[in-house]
Amino acid sequence: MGVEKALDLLRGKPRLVSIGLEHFSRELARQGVRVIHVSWRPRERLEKDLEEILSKIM
Amino acid sequence: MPRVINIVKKGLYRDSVYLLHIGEELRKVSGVIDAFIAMGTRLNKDLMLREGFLTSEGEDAGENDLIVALKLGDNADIDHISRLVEELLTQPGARGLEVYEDLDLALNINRDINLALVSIPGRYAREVVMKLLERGVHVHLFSDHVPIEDEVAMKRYAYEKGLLLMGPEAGTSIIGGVAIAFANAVRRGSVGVISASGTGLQEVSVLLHRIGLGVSHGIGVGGRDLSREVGGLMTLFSIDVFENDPGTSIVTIISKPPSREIQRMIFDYIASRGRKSYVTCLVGGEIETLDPEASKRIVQTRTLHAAVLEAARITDPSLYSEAQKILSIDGKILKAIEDAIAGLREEQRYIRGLFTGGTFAYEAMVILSRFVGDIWSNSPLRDDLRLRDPWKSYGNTVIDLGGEEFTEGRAHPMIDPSIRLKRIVDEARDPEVAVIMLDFVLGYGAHRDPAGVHVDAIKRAMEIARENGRRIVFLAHVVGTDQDPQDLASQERVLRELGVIILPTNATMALAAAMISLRRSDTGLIDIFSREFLRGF
Repeated sequence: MGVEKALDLLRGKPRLVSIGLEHFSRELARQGVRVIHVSWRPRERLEKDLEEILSKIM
Repeated sequence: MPRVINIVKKGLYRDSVYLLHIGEELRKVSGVIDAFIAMGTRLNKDLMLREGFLTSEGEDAGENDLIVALKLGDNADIDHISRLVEELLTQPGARGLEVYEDLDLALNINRDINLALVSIPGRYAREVVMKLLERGVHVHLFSDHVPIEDEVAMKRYAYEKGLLLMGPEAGTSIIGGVAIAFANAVRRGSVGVISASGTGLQEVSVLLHRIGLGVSHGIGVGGRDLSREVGGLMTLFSIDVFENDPGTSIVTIISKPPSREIQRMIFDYIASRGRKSYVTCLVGGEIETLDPEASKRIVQTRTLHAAVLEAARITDPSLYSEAQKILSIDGKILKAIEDAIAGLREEQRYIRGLFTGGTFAYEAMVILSRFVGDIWSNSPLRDDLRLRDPWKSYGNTVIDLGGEEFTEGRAHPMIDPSIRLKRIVDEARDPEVAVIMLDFVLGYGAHRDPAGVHVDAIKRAMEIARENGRRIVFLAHVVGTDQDPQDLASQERVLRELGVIILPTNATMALAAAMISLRRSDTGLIDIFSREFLRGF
């Protein structure tokens, strides 16, 4: 494991994707940082349950 | 009597901060006396019940349903209000942001993205984080309630790929001068910070800024990184990163007490691999015995305050004495403490700490227990000191309002102060309370006006005490800089005008509380505090 990728991140300003709280995306934008926002909501319970059942029987 | 209505939106999800803003909007509408809008988690329903907001419709809502609870006056136009609720809920206000519905699409279009801030409910985090890591994106994972086995799996994967996974439960990072989640605007400098505590990183970066130093980067590794299960994986990785970062000359490591074996391993790792200077602050942890070679490069401290002093000492011995002065209880504060003591009645003995920062609560308990004995808490130093009911204080009590009993399905208390505002007033009704400690966290992510939003509650608490022939003492520590968006000076001014005593660090606030509770305004306690809590080992 090398640290090159992490050092790359630290060298300049980070370029961000913010997933979840829109508040945090706005706070990043306020700092003049490049940020895109991905809105997130939980998938329906049923869909999740079905997936779990399928993963057990397949 | 106001009329209470609950509008339940089945299966509708909006994040807690967004709901907070909708509540603020609705309270401005004529006929709306008060509003409480939240997902239907157990905690939120309990709070609604406690505050007279819950009807049978709300009671039947589940945790995936959204409840709009309103107290309405006679003049309320219900049709108008219902339409407004619909509008506010169906128009997520993403104006001005570049928004995507789908993460893959967002990353495919924006291939330059190198860091993700993830703040979704913890049980869903793994799927999203693994996808980001697969695509080579570093991650700051703010979410809590992430299963520990998920944390281990995600961190191992990140480590193999040479990527940073900051968190889960990482409140704060500062990367390339950018404040991620809850973080302050601080000067860039040569101190690198690795922190398993969000507020620990905020305090250290703010105090470094105040004494004229600065931060190269602050890496929040998450509260459980130094547990046995996780094995300090991201702390070790961050040590390697800072060792190779030309902008960092001093590395500071902050955590609540780690697993003993992991603590030993971290010190061994630094001793064998490190070339730079290290300052550690494992609040409430043991001081490790080091061999002479290692102790030349590693200074251990017991408080965040001391960690900053030691970083100053390594940088320049003359800066150390200057920093001591800047962060001390000076003559003015001492006088205020004396006056506060003179105004207390005999039965006022107890300290109540209402903290938004978990590490502030913890550090305060470590210091207070040295001077006043047992401290009760929802997050205590010892299990037998756990409050049976976290909503009610007992004896000397310190509350971490960021604890899960206060936050599930709600915004963090640094954004949503409502629980603390009520608690301040409750504490003032207790005739045995002498002093209330409050932390005010400024910076990006935090409330726009933390001091201002507390004015009415503090005034009301003082009034209640006065009506009963008492004076109650308020202490505050404001965690902020002159570059923060809230403006440190005006935040402190608002508090001072109320008669609140402002302390330069969280540790000195705990000391001041002990002095007031014990009626000791001489320098005796300050001397013990300096010897035990402000020195390096």
